[in-house]
Amino acid sequence: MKKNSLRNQNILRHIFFLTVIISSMIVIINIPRITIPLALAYVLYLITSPIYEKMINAKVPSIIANLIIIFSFVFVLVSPLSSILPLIESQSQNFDSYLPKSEFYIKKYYYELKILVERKTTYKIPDGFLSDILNTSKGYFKDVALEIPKILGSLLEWVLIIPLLLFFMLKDGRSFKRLVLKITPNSIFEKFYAVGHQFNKKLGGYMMAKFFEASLLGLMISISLGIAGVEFSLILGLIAALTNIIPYVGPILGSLPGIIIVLAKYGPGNLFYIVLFIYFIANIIDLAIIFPILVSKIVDLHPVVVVLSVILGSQYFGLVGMVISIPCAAAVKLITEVLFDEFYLS
Amino acid sequence: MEENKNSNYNLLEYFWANSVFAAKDEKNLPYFLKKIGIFKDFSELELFDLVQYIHIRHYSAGEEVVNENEHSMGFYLIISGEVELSSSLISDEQKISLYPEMYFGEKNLLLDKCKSNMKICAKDNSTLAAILSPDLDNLIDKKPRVAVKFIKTLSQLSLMKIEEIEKRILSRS
Repeated sequence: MKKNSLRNQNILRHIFFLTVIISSMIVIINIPRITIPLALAYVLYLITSPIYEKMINAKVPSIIANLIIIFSFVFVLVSPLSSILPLIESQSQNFDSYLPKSEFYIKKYYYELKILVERKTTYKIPDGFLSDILNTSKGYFKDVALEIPKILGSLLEWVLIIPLLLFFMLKDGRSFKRLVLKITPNSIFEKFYAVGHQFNKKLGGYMMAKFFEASLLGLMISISLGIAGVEFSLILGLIAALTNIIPYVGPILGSLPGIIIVLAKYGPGNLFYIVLFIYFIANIIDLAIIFPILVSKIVDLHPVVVVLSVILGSQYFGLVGMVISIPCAAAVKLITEVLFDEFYLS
Repeated sequence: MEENKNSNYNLLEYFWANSVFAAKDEKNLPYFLKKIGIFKDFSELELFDLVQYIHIRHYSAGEEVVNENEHSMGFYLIISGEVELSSSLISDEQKISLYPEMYFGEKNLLLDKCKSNMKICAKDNSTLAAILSPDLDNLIDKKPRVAVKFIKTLSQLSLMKIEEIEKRILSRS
């Protein structure tokens, strides 16, 4: 009788715990407006929590340590945004005035070409062909232009929400962890805690290592392009650093803007080959030296798993998904290992 | 069951728990730890740091804490209730009961993937204070001084057990 009531109590605790975990995951995954800032705030929490702990150990009051981190983050994020926003605004205004000009030039050259073709071949190119292309292009550009305020809006929303989430994660993260552990059934308490600890350690370590790797690569490219006399070397370095977070495709994406700018401005001359060489050497140094030392040991994953997880991540959460896909795959591997130990080796 | 104060004490709460005004019972974790001999070398502040890494777990009578041959990573202190240690290799008469202020699982913190040789079960409704292997890792990172003292204590406990076994072997031979 006593044994039965104990078993029922255990089953109820497991059901309650699983319901809470699964329903929270469903809510988080299905609302990207919450998922993305929450994931970014969590990644920042993992990166900044060692710094926060160091400050606490140095006897800095917790609220001061928290505010130092939040204000540094806001400064780092808001200052480039505040300088970029007027630039985007002026560029979109230029874009508006540039569109009718472009249309005029396209129409002029089209009619010249039409007359030439008609004269040489007697074939009359229909006018509807051009108007179709122009209407489709105009519609596409309008859509993109309409999307810009939306993207900027969510960026501004993130600027407000992410520091707020980060503040509470640093302040109440420990209490929240204890609350989750409180509802964890006794039978899985040790394993759940160990997996959670390993997951945080792996994700935090990976993000920290990736952050250093991207910063080093960005710095190398900025300095080298600056020395070579390429314009926008700082922005190009920043782009290379940001895209480096995306595995495999990142280095190619990061080098494209620099190559296009140099090609457009200076043509395929010496500088073009120097820039190609800079990107090539920087990425080789990254792949051969920085990545193996800093990152690869943290996530011990097969390349096929890495590629598949990046595709899955981009499919569901876009760019953020590509960034967090590898540590998530590492976490899945970790949980699978624990379950394998539990079911086959115990 | 009345809820214990969890181990998430801030400094003020910790010193209040130690003051003459606070109730001196098993719900007062700082007071409870000071009573246990293994923590006699810890200062007030070191105990405060250690308390932050302790998990309070409540077990119903008959509920398993650790199963035989199961991997365990916890060091447990009994705050209230009674815990029974049994094994498929020993008879019912040889079962061992542990009471408040006693502890088990010190080797789980010192060895990786340690398998329990005994089945550990709550005999009564019991409250245990647990420190798990990841907590010790965190303690080493964040409070190395306290971690060294704690590891020294765990090593002493293990050595005392080995000495006891040696004595028993010698007395038999």
